[in-house]
Amino acid sequence: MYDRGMSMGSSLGTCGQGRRLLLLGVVAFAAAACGDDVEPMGEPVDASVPVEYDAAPVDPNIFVWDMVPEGLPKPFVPEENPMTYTKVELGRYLFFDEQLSGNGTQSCGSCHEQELAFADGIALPIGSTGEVVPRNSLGLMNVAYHTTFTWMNPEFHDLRTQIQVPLFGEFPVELGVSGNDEEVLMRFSIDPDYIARFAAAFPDEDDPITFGNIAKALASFVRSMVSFDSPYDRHSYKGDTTAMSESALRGQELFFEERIDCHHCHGNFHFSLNVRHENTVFIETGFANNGLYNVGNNGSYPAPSEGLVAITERIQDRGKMRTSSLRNVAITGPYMHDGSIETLEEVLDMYERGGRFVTSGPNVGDGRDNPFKSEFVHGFVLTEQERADVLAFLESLTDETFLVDPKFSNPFEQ
Amino acid sequence: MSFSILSKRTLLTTLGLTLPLSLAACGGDDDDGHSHEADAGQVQADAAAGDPDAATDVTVTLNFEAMVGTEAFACSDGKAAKTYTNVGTAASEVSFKDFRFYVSEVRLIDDADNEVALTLENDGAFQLQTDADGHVALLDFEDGTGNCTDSGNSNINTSVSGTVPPGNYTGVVFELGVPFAMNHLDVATAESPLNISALYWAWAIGHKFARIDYTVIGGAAWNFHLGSTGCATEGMTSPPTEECSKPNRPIIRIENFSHETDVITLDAAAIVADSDLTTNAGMTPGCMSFSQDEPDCTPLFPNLGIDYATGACIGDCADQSIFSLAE
Repeated sequence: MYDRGMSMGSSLGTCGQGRRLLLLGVVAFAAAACGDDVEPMGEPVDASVPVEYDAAPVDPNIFVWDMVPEGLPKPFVPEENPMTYTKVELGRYLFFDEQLSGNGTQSCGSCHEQELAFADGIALPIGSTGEVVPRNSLGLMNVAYHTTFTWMNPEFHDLRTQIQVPLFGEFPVELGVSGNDEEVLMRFSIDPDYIARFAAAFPDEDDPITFGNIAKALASFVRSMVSFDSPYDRHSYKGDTTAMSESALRGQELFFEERIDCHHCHGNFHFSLNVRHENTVFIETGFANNGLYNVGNNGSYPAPSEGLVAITERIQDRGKMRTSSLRNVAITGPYMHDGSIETLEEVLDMYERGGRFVTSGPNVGDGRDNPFKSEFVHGFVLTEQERADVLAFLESLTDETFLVDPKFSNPFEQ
Repeated sequence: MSFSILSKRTLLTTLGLTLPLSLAACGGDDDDGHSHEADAGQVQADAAAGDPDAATDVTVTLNFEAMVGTEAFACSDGKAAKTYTNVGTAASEVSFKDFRFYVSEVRLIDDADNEVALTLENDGAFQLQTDADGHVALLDFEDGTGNCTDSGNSNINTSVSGTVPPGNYTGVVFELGVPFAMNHLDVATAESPLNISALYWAWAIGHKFARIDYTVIGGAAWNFHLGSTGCATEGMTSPPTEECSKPNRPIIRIENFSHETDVITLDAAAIVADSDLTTNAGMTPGCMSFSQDEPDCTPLFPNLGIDYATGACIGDCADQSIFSLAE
């Protein structure tokens, strides 16, 4: 049913040590797993148990994209998995529940922390059994607007497919459900709260507690994580002319200039060419080699993150990674697919130079000369003021509301 | 009839080809009993021909082809990127990463020299026709293979379809570009084909009228991006309220044209016939139509019939050398 091999060379760094969330999550898990209120399977369940949800929708089966400002498209939603509040809310519980890992130590939220826009603040996450995940945890805002998911796989066009990787991936193990499938499902199957939530989310199904439905619910929750309340958004889409500083406004002009050329890969409301929404007709993906490495002077990126080439086996796809959205970029560091750049200032340094020069170690090479580098990474020179302005603009993409929005918060902490 | 709009080479081609084809296509009597002259562009209403009250519009299709010199354009030969030799002043060997362009203001020219606008079929994809703003169509020759994987996709479109009143049409005129009223619509909410990120120009809040990206084999990228520049905006998220100072919309006028038999070609080699693809003189790779790209764009733009300094046609853009009719 699930292609467990797909995680090889394609997995998204998803679950490392969740730190604070981990500790709290353990308590939540302990309560859920060991509490006195766990009822045996087969107990009558009232499927109409109301699911608490702040937005208090009139009809839980009609999802309203009320966080998308007027003048912007809503996300694309696959027909096979329509959005409902009950599914989104089930997905929120699953996202933060450590019962959804083989050994009960991690949840999706362990490596995707809300206060960091669902990134995790470390270079490479560590999975539930201690294995290092080779790619940086992506922030999860506006995931629904991406065409493809993960850093370097062009084939993941459906979040449900991508979600199999952290759940079932074995190389490396992330949540480690593989081999523990039945036990993990059993945890939910004996939990009256989950029995009610699954029944509400999948009302037409007799036996709704399946990994297929877990993926649907997680996909729905992640799809609902919409972020459009940054100073940039308030300025651009909500008529608040005071939302951005003068410096950020000057930085915006620079960002969209041909001289710096940020916009060629990041120039739309999604700040990524890898964009798809409700009105998209032609599917566009955005992958580029940005000159981060040039190992062996032949354009290679270090294993096991060689870029799209790992999937396509085309030499010219060496080093090509998805151009990620820049929303909330100021708080989603460290940066790049391997978290190898600590700060935004250093990221700007790299693009100013036209690529990174790795001067020692196994990955030595001048990324500026990478033969497969995007022509838009051509280098530029900024004055100190201009640098400060570009950084101020990037910081204006931080949506503070998103970071504390109860709709996306850990329900086990409430 | 004036042929001044065509280059000599094109003119000879046109004269040599169109007339015989016209005879072949339309030489006989028609159903309505009228005998027509040998005009290739004769368009008739299928229903009730000859009845003036039922002169319903007829559908015409204009066929386009992308060329590189004398060879047909392709991103790849199926697997590897297709390469072309002898392109530009340095006779470079190149492959391509993109080949798309918009056309608008499409009109057929009848035998009385009237220009009759096409009403495009609104197909929700490559063609958009609106009551207020006219029409635009995207010609898309990249198929997402070879080196066209980065910005491209698998869809292609090689023709423009629309309706016109019945008439005897002998020429075609169109603009290479997106009309001002449509050009600066928000890419996030605009209808297809105006909502393609790869053809959007964030810095001018407009569209790339043409995106033809060359890659010199063993060298670097050399891109041709055409679009309106010098657009007065209040900021990078506000569209201009009046036409940009350099519209950069070539007007392409082709006479002795039969929509039934002729194919309109855009030649990527002709675009850069006066450019050295082994050097990038301006700031960005190739000619990307903005002010600091002057060294790369100044020699190129006359091939479009446009003066780079003004963004307007030289004459009537009559000396453009990039579009012609297929031989």
